[in-house]
Amino acid sequence: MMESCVFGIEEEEIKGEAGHRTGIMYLPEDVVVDILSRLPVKSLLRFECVSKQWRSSISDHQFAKFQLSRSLSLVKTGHQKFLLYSSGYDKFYLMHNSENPCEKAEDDDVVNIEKLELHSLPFDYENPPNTFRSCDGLLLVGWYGQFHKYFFLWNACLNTCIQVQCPLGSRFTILEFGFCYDHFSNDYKVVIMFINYDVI
Amino acid sequence: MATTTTETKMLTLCTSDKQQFQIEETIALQAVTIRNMVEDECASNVIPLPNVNSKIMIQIIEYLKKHVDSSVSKEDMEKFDSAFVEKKLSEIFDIILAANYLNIKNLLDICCQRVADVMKNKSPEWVRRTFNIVNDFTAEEEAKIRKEHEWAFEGVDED
Repeated sequence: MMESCVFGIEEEEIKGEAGHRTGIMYLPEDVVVDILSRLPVKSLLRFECVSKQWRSSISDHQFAKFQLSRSLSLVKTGHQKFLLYSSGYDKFYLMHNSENPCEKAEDDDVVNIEKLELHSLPFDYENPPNTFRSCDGLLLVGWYGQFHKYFFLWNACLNTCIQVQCPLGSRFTILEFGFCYDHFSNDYKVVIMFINYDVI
Repeated sequence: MATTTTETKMLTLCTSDKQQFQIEETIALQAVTIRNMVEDECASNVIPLPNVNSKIMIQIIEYLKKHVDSSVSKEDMEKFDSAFVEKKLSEIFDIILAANYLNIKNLLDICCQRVADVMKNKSPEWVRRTFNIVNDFTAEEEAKIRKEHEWAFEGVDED
């Protein structure tokens, strides 16, 4: 877990305007969950503080899977931005439409690499990562050479990062790696292609 | 195919405020709840819908009439749908409740999407007001939750 060190506004100022109180009946819970599943992660994190019921619905594991599959279908219809696309090594774009990755997103959607808080990783950012791979909004960042092999998994939506241990020692040279979701194990996997110089 | 389509079968729907609506059966059967009633039930062709009022029923019929028409292109249907949900949120909520009861999946989908699109950049306070939700967190608990993802509160619309 990464601690945030930003001191911000504790309570939002509530505007005194009349608002549009609708006096509606309560929507059934399954309908509320349906609506929530159509929201981007940023909105969901904000709405966790709406009520205890909402917090429990939003943080539910099944809901996360439901929301992800919904997001992937909404990306196709242009309702949501989702895919990460790196241009150079310092910027990421959240795209409107996966079928047209060349179409640039607006400036607001550009996430600078500083925002990923890579500075809190045990690295000198002077030394840019070798490469990135992304899958379902998760980003795998890799720094590797003969004597170091470090991989970090960054969740773009939550802005959290964990280190992934690489089992290969210094005798192995990484040629290429990929990152994907494995339906059988219901988990994400890193696939590495390497050369073992001891064998050659 | 048997030639049973020469005569248009009509159904009468009776809303909560006792208004009666005569509509073609093919239009009404798009609502799964009505279809089940017709399939299971007695021959009586007045269908009581105690959970839907006439104001909402008129809009639902407008939607169903459009969607039963197979000559409408996909594009035109999408245009119709996006114009259809351009309503006040309170009205959308009423339609959602009716579509949920009548089990009209497409209608429920477009209305839920509309709500999500409107609320996407809103504050938690706006959401509580709009959904009639009582905040059951203490001030300390709420502040703590907000602190977990402070960045999620950036770029929120003014209420």
